[in-house]
Amino acid sequence: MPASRGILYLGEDFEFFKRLQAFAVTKKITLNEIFSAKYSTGALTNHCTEFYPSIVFVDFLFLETQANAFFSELIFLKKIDTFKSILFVALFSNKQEQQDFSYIFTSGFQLSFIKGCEENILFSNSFNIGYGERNNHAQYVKAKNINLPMKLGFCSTLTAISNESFIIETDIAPIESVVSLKLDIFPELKAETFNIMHSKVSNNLFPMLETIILEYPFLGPWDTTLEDKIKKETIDDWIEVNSTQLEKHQIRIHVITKKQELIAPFFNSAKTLGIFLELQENFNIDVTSTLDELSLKRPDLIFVDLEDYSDTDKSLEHFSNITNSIRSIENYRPIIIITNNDSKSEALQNIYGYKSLIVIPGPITVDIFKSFISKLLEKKTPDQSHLSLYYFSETNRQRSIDVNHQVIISSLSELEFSFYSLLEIPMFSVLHLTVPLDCYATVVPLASGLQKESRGWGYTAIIHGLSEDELTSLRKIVNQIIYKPLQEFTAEEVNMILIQKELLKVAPEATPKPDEKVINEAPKPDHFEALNRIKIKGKSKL
Amino acid sequence: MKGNLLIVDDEPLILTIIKNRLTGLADEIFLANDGIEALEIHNSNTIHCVICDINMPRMNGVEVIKNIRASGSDVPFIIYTAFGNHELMLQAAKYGAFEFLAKPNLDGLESIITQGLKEGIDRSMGIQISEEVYISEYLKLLNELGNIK
Repeated sequence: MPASRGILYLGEDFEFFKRLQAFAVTKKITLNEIFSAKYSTGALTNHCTEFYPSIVFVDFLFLETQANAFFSELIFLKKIDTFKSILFVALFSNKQEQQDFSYIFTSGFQLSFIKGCEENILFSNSFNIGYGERNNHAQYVKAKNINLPMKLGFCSTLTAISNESFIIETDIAPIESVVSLKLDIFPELKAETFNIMHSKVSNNLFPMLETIILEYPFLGPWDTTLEDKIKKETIDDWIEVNSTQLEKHQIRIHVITKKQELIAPFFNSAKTLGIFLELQENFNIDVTSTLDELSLKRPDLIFVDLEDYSDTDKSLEHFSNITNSIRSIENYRPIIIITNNDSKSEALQNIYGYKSLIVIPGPITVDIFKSFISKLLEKKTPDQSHLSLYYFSETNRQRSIDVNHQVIISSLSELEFSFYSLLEIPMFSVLHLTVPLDCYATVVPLASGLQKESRGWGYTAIIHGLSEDELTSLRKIVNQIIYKPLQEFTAEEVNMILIQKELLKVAPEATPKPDEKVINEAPKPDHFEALNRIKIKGKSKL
Repeated sequence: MKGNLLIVDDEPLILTIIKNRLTGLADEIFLANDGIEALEIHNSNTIHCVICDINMPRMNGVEVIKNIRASGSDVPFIIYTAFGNHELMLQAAKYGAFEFLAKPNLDGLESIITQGLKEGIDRSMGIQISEEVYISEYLKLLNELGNIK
């Protein structure tokens, strides 16, 4: 089902919801296309599969103790093509709350907002992005021709670590052999670049576009400096101390199907069983990549729905990549279940030269999953795999990292900034700014399209995640730059502005709960108008 | 009831050899020289199993199985093919192949045809393999693979 124009608000701030409705009506969204709901486990999946909204506002004040369930659900949904284009907007009561949930931008969120600020900007940005319209922001005072080289942090995530390497997920494909980032889980390690062992575009744990395996800069026997090196014992000790907060996937199941929405109902029960479910929509056509991925992840069970793949492409040859790769991996023989095919198991075993293969004529169903997995659970012994990977859970704050890339800032307003980059940046990537203020920015398509010049590709990012006071500070900084052009954002000048306003410490503000109850039940819409998004050239997160 | 068999091959000699070998295993054996004739015979008669060469002029075995599947039939197909047609075999598998046999080896042909005819009769009567059978297959594989580590 294509995306609709629907808007979902998950929360209980009835006043905010009324203002959202009022704004939406001005954009010719009808009231029966906007609804609110209280979050409960499974609610997000149910609403998205029933209404396919374009925008979901999530009020974090009301998530309370359900953050784990919510993020598990969100991350799973955002990896399914059908739901990838839904814009998720986070609403926070204060800056501290936003910092507590710093991992939202690697979990499927593209925008954040701290309540108390001007809501029209939030609504305007959300509707522009959510409905796939070109960026047509009102003109704010803008400092132009800044031409400032700067390293920007792109929101990324630690996925897993082992004693030898660590895995990150990010949106920008690396073009060099190193990645620039700060590994805060090891504060004594001052290194800011890490060598890439392997990188690929593949199915990831989080809704990011690239997976990169990096090696630790181990201290060698002849090394005397310590700052940019780390002892292996430090890594080993950290893993041992933190292992209870990390996850080891007892069972991994890989599902290749175009009907991913059929698997969604199984997701919640899979998690409680200690099963990691990975979905893939298309066969990986690159043999090396298939081999690397299988070597690393080693799914215990692989489901393939052959009905989904037409005979005009080479899907069955690509499926051969899987069986050929498996055969070349030592001590690894997962069972492959092929569904929606009338062949006899032995026939396909012979043709693919792989004996651990079963063919089922019917489709993949939740019942079939449960049947096979319960048998596997009875047989599975504790993981003794050669590669002990410890995974960061969805809500582990330690997984938030920034991967840095060099850009040239060209203009800045209180709403957005423009920059040039030699790297291709996917639309709707989220950046984490620490200068001049701690905030976030989302790369958006321009009405004029992507332009390239000698400094690189020109991008614009809309700024968000600022408190009201911080927004005032930013406004001042912009005015200062206009009237006194800066060659760089000097820390002294920024601090002077902040000290004057005593803004270095922002007190968290509690948002009182509204007296009125929010409508929990989503009205059944008679008709959701389908959404026609403008196509974006190049990579896009939505 | 033994079921009806359709043999498809563009080589008349192969048709004769296989028919002679299988006489008595099926109620009736139909012969087709090419894919088009095979479709005509299939559409005009009740067929419980097809043994089909994959490499034929005008319409290859993949097209035959594709067309028969498109008509809604799930009749078991035994694909009979020479070495080197791996790509065609993969394509045939997409539409559900009961078994693959390598030319000119006819070892085990009778057994395979008997199983194919039985399967075809079961399918025509709507008898489906229960999920328990697949679970048993799965358990057997798990045991063969030993303790999973």
